[in-house]
Amino acid sequence: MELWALTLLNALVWGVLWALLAVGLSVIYGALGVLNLAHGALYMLGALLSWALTPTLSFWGAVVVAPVLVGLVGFGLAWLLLIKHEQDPLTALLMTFGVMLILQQLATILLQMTTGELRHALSPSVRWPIAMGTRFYEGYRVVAAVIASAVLLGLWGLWSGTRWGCSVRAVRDNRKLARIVGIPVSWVRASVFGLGTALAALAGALVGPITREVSPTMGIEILLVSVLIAVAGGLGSLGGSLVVAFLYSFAENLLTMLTDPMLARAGALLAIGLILLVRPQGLGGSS
Amino acid sequence: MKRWAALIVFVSAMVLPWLWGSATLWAMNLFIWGLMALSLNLLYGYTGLLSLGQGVYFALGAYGAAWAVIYAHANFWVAVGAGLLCALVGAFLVGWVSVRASGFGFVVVTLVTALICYLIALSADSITGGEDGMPFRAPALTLLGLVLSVRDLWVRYYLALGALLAGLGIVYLVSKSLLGLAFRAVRDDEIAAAALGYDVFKIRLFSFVLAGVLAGLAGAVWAISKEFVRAGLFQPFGAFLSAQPDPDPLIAVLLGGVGRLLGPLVGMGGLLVLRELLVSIWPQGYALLMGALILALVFFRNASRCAAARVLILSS
Amino acid sequence: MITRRDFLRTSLGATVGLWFWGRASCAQAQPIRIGHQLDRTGAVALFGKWHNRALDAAIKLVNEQRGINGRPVELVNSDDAQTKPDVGKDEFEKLVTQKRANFVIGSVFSGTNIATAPLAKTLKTIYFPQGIATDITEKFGNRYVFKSYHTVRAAIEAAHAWVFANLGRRFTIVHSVIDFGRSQAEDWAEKIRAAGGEVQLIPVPFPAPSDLFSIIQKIDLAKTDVLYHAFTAVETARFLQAAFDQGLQSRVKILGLIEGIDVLSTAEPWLEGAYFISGYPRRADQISEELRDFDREYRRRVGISAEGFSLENPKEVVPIADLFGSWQAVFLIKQAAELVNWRSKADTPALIRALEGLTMPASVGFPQGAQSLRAQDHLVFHDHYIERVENGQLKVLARIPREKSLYKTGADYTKEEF
Repeated sequence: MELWALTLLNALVWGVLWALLAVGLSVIYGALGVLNLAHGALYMLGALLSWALTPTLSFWGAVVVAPVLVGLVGFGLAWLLLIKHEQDPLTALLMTFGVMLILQQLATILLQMTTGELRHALSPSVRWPIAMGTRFYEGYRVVAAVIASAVLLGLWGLWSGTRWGCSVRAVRDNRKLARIVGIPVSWVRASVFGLGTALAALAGALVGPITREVSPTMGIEILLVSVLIAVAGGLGSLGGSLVVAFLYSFAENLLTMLTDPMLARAGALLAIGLILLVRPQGLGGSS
Repeated sequence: MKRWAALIVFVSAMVLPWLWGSATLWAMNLFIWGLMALSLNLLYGYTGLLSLGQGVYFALGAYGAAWAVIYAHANFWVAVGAGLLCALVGAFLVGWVSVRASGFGFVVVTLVTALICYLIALSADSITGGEDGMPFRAPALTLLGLVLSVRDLWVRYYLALGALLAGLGIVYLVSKSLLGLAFRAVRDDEIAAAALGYDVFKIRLFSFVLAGVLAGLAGAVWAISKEFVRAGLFQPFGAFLSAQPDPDPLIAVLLGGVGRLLGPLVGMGGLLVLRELLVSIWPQGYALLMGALILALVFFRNASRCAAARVLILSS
Repeated sequence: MITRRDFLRTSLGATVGLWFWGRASCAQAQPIRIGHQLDRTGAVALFGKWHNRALDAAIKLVNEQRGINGRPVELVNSDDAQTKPDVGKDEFEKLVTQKRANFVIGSVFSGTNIATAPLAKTLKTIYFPQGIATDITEKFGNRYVFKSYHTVRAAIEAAHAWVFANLGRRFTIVHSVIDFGRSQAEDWAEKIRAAGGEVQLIPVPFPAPSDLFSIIQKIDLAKTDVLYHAFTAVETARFLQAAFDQGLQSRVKILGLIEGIDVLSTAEPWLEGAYFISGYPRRADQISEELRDFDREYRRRVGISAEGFSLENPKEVVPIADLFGSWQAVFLIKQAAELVNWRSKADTPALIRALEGLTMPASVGFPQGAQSLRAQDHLVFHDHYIERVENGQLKVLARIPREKSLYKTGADYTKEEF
């Protein structure tokens, strides 16, 4: 019994983290029409930066600062590569692929220089075990999930309640018209890219103590799953991403209890893929 | 002039193992990966479908050949045929779903199918060998009454060369035929092509399956000449998980010129030379440079104002 | 300004020149070349580096002792084998055909070993794979493949009696699905069932998923005395930490092969109290009295401190427990080659016959102690140790004589043709 309860709790925690990643991808697509393949690498950058900053800023300081820094990097990248020169969607996708390779390889080189050949960067140890029957659950995971939810809630407020959110939606729906009514379109688009990457970096910073290790390839591991969640949720739709993220997380965690982790992940991916077969525009997407 | 150049390249490829033995292994890898780049170019360059999961059909070709040898003790030609058949069926099934989408939707479907195939291959490690892979004993190559062992390097070399020439021939014929025109029509303007009476779905599916079969041929030849297969072949971006990535067909296509017949081969040659140069002086540099190369190629191709692009992109 | 034509002309000239120079230098004194299939990058790069150092040191020592049959010995390294089986295989071929290696010491990655083994026979070159998956001597070996230290099956045969008597027989085995992990799971499962114990297997993908929580959840603590782990270095660390956070270390005994933590420091809370099966004690003061002199010389020459760290970088842990495989492969070649007066690769069949059934006395060349090479499966048998982490340091609890690791093999390579 307690096994299943713990599994469900863990699925909930991961659901929020997947949502954070997928929502980032989704808003970027909404405003820029770009599928950001560098999302995983920016998530890794967030984890790496928070690991590097923890000794000076403490873990919680690093969790705040790392996403801001990565968000600025994202802003700059978007401005230089995607906005200053308008790109068609496939070219833009290839560019983010190039960025992904560069970031990942830079991280490899840096980690090798600081931690040696093994590249073994242990994440800061924040656990707060809570006894549950004969087992423990890390209280940290719950806290991380709460923080992520709060950020998502704040994002929703920003999205629906502020002038900036209004401009983002205007840019998404009709860019030309938005420009005509005086919205600084380029600035809005770059800021959305920055915000999306900051969300990825926050997920990376929060996930460090859960995965216990920061590695250059951790981004590739989560990239395709979050892309599929964002697409199946309907690109540009926040609510859709959220729902699909939870569906995926529950499917994967429950299947892992029944079968081996590889089949569990394949099964969860297939299940999410089925949504696309039924609704090609995604759960929350408009056709 | 062009013909003479082609003749010289062809003759030097034919005599290479006897003149410059130590380059034979390198050239063999170039032919196999070059064929892979050719397959991607057919799909992306001619039909405009960007697949980042082309490794799946390479892997299916490799496993098809390996399984035919291991479980059915197939001879050489049956093994290659089994590899091609596996790739064909796989490409048809995935294509049936994926070519309905275009642009990034197509990219996502190809990536996610690759990931699912990889996870299943890992899980079914009793028949795939998992990440360690599994070796098998390749059957002898029987041709015109000759029995040749692929353990001899020169046999493997001509096998790869033959596969590459076959692939080049197919792509050349297709590009010169009406079908090639249809591919390009669909690439340039889907709606106009449909209005002209082309069945966009069928044309894309055909292109996808043909590219899959070419990738499968590369995979089957790879598996037979290495006498080895591993599940990692399925993995999307798998090459980029290691410090020394395998030569990436997409970068080769971009480097050599999208939609050019020989472009991908030239690009792949460039990548392999680059890797040989960097491996002894700066091993980590190769992957870093790959990223920079993609950015530069794509950026300059699009912002074609830059004159340097003409130098970088050899033939576009 | 160098034009392309100039460049081509110069490089062509240089190539031809090098070829002639290579031909000319061949005619002089012929060194014996030992090749190393070296992984410079990838999962086992750190092991590759240290195996290379051990080979270098061993060859230096052999050359101080008048080489082999009076001929100098030379180490030729491959380009990067990348911890990838297909690349490693190509590198082996280049070592033999282009760099003219007479013998090759293999990668520590079992996948590479298994892919390369058939090629060793084709090219008639003796190959000493350094991975320890059982399959390399049982299923995929051949007459040219020799294993210069234990495989998983030998280690388990040696340790199982002690483990069942002292730790228990109800196992949960959490293992990586690579050959290294899978062969441990299979071999233990067979032993445990034969002894009437219980075993639960939990396979984990390689590379392991980022969150190991659900894997740990699958462990049924009520049915477990021994939690056995079979991962590679960093993954072992992540798994044992995750287990520690769930409080498992205080409720079950933790056991594994030392190869799993070979490059990690043991001064960690999550390693405290864990048991390991090892082929060579990490700390010099745990070595038996009669082997101390050999051990001291071995450590000095390879550059390992008495505590098992690198002499150059006191923070770097040396994978000492499996390093001696490469080290003693060189002395195996020397001993057998001098027995049959090996001159060229034409004499290799005679050398193989000499290796089959060879016994090696304890010496600097065999610092691990007296050993024997079983003729049928080409596997070297040596003593084993049970070590436990106490106060952050590995301490030897028991030394198990090599006779106890002699399991029954299904292979017989002596009947195979050359």
